[in-house]
Amino acid sequence: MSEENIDIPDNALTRCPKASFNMIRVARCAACPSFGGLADRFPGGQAPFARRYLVLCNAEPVKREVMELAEGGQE
Amino acid sequence: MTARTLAQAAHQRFSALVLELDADYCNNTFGSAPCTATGTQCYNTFGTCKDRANYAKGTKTFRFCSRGMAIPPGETLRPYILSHAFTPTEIPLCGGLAARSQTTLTMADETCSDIEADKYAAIRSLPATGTFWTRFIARNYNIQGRFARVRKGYVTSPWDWTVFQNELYVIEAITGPDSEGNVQVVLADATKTLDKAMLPEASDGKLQQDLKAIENSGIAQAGGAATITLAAAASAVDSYYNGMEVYVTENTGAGQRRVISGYVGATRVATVSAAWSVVPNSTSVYQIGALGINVGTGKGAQYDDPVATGLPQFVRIGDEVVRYTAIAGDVLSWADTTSRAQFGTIAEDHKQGDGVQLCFAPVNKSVTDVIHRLANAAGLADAYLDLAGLATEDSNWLGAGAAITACIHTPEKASGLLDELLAATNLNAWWDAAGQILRFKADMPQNAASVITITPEETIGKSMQVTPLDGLRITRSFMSFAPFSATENMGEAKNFGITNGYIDASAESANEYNAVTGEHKFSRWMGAANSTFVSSTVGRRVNRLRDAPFKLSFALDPRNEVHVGDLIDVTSRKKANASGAPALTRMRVIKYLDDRNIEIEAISTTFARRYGFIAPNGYPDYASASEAQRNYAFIAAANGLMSDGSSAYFIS
Repeated sequence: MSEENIDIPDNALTRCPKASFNMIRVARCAACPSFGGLADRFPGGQAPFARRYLVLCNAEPVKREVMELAEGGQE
Repeated sequence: MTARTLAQAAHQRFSALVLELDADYCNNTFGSAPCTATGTQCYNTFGTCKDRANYAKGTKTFRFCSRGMAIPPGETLRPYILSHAFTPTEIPLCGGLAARSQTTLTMADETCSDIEADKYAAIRSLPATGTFWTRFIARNYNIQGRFARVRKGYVTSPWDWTVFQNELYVIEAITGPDSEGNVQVVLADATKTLDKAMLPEASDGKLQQDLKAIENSGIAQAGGAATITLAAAASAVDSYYNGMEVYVTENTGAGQRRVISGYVGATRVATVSAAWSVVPNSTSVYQIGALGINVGTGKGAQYDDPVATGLPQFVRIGDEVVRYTAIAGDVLSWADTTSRAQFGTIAEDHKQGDGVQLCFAPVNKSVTDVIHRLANAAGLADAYLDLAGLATEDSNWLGAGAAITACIHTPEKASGLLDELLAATNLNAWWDAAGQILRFKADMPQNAASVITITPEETIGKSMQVTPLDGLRITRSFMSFAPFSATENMGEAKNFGITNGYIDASAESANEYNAVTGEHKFSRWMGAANSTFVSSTVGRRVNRLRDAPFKLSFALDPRNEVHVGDLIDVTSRKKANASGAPALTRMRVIKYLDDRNIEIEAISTTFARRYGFIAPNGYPDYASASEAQRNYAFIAAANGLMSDGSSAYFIS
């Protein structure tokens, strides 16, 4: 549940409720007061970052899913 | 005195009841241009028309009077009214739409010559058979919703129509004949149209292709003066993103929006319609979104044109509300992707075939404007709305603080919407049948110029009855408002962002009611900008209801003509002050039944605090002011009391 010791890839993007749900880098979330950490959906698993983690965001009462971008970025 | 008041005061009165039904009637003559019909003549109604393309809708009024009533010379009135039953309107407490009144008239049915109803009776080969009502119903299958007037007055000699009061209703139904051969004509007040109209109107446009929250997003590979190289995962199809918006959300060039005018799939290079102010580079995070939808062939006409109406227009797709800024044929479009996810909704992916529903969404409009638009859209024309009275109440008690920004995204009964808005703003609305208009009044202290005084001598017999309304008493009021999202469930407190409340600690204290009695309302009409107004509203509700209001029911002689909504000052031995003397109470007439004698229900208008309008220039000091002048506010002494020791006025 903690972002500690988790390496957030620079190309991981999420839609931010505080930015009108526009795309921002997940790395920026750590500095946000509404950031509630990352939820690990497959503890100990080997899933790629975007499949494995959810951004827990207190700006809206919902869990935000993270999208990871491949080389050069992808949806 | 008018002829009516003279007739009302006469020692011997013969009350008279007349019904006028406005039926549709074609203005053309059968077979004469423009009517091209041939064969057997019609009856000039749409149901019997043989040339509907040239049908010219007009009105024919059929008039009826009570059985046995004197009929004015030279006029055609059918003496068919056998009995009548009135269910009057009733104004609710503390805001809302009054209960709709209904009138049911039981009519006799008889054979008659048909000369009045049938323009061609004289030239038909066979005379009409059957009875008046059976023919009328057969010819006017579509009579529902047409107007009718009930005229209540007195038989005078010579006959005088000015002694009649004309009440306007809408025809609800004509049923029968029953086993006795009688027909029931059911009339409803004009607000019944609000029960039938749905707002916003249902629209059945459908997405002709998928609409995604974000068509594509990623980190740009490069940028040029008027180009951006999208991420490798972007579409490989040429022109795929043409007409869509690319928005740089982060890093170099952040905040810029451009419309894509060309796209080469092989290179992922998108050309934008205007050069970048800051050229994006390989750090820029971007997203691409569509700027329009096609709602299907011929469906565009269902959506209001934001340019033509001069109003912001919105549609709901799934749980997302989208603002569109232009409409061309069947294509709704918006200038940039900030139009997505309006009213707190979230941009979502939508599938081809998803429904596109028009919304009723006022943006920063006065309560007067919203009610006006709502009533018009529901079929009540301006002629039937007391807009001047509404504007006065709005100006006195609501104002800019109550300006409405809200979104109704699914068709609902117009009456329900109006009732909700009225209740949230402490406004009452009721159909004034005699004035033939929908009236509005804030449930607040009123500075009526003239108030009718009702003394015990004027009430009939033992008719006066006092009913305390203890169930309505509250000591605190809360309102949750500013919904997070317009498409969330509006019945749950958790979906509202703000709750304002007012607690009367004194009323809850051990020396007073020694109990907490509260109410908690939700309002989707109020937004965060209305927070101050909501605080006033809940405060006013507690001041209005901290002590139980009471109702007086009594009968009056018709010469004391009062109407529903009037303010009256009542003295009665049954409502006494502490010394036992009859108390003078200002009441509002909430129910009025004119049926030979006038039966009245009135509710107290007392507020816990003393309200007063600012006194006009030239008024004397408080000490020498009359009781009427003291309905205006005077400045209290430093100790918070007036010179006679009474409480000071409250500014709200």
